[in-house]
Amino acid sequence: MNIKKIMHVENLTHFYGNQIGCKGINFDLYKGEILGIVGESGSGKSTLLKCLSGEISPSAGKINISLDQGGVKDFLSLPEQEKRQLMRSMWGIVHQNPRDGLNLRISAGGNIAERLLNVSEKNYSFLRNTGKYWMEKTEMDSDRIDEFPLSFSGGMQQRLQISKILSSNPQIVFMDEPTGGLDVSVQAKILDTIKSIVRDINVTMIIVTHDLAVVRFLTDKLLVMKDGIVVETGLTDRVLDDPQHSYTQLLTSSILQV
Amino acid sequence: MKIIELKNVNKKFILHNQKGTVLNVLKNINLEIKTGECIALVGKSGIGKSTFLKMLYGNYLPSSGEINIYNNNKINIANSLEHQIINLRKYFIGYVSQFLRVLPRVPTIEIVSDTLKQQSLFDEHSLIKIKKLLSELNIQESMWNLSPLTFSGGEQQRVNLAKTLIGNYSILLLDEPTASLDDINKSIVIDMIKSKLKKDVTIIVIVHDKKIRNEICTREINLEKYIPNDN
Repeated sequence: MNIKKIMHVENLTHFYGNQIGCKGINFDLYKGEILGIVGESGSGKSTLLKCLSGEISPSAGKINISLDQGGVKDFLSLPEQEKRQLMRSMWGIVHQNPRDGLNLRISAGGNIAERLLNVSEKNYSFLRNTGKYWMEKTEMDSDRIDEFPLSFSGGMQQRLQISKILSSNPQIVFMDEPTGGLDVSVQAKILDTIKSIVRDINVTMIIVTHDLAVVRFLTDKLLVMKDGIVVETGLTDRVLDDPQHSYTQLLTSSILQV
Repeated sequence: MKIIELKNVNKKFILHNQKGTVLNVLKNINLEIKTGECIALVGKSGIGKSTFLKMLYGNYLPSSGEINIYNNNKINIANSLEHQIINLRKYFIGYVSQFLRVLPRVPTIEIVSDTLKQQSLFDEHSLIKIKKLLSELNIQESMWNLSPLTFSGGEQQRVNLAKTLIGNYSILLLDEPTASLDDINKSIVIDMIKSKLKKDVTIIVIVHDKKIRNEICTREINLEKYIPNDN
């Protein structure tokens, strides 16, 4: 078995002025892996995600990426234009607030098509069918394809955002608290949807969350962050069931039993 | 042929947030398990039988030592990349925990199907096979499309067993598979374990009932001898 390494992160560090955002981060991500990044607010997990997804330029460190086409590339030293193009077509970012990831002035179908147009797909009926297909796959009513995002509930908007991102078959999907703003019953359904999709299409994903139940159900491996550094890493169920670091032990023992 | 090998395995828990308490659980485990063996783990409650199983599954991390699994090549579970362990769990090692852990809302039949889908063994005959297994385990047809989270303890345990026994694993780790079952269901599960053994599956099982052990197991490993002296 030889699974391709698609991301190699070395000593990734970002400062906001004198303030540490994240520091000395190292990990490898293999094709088809789902990585969870957990930690309390202020631990640096969102900063790390932003560095990885190209939203901010880190102060130091290295990110090597190896995509289906083009061999290994040093992501941080790519020309800005190439970086943008990569992020548009091969990265997919699912924001916590779906309104940050959706274009509210165009229809649900238009939102899904927008991504596909970026990867130069121009056939109208193909775009429309893909839109319907993804709406159904994320358990939305595809008859609502012509409605605007604001006519959907929060949970449905999140499904639409996930459809939009996954429809263009990105090589890495980044999710920032994907179920953060949703109530519990909606959360469970969305997790279920994401889980069944990742099983079907072998997507590689990095999820940032503070919710340990989310990482247990969705991720293969974990980075536990505190004060900007990674304190523990490993197989998700190993980290949660047999935590080695004192902070991870505190985190896992703080969950209330329902 | 050896399929599992433990070399100098030690396990202690350090409870950092409880005054740094150190619990030495198991020490100096050196042993080999051969293909097709059915091993019973024995020893008094709290001695570390479940801990032992969980280390074999990569769920607990040994404090030192090697746990080698011989697939086509050797993989040291205690020191492997995550995707290698995940792959091993997908195709090679099945684990039945004491308690069922599944996503809410997912119907029983899908939970069992999922194992075959993960192993890329799901085809047009699979549903018949799954329904047959669930019936044999006395899970009523009316429950197949319900989430098992609302089932009784014994029913959940049988779904948990079905989920793993449907798969094509070379090693099965079973943590008290018959604990909350009545006599009829117990003997059904024992027969299923026997038929796995006929297919040369290697089984490591925790089971308190000596009669069951005598019936299915080829060897007992008593964990008493791995208790650290300083306890």
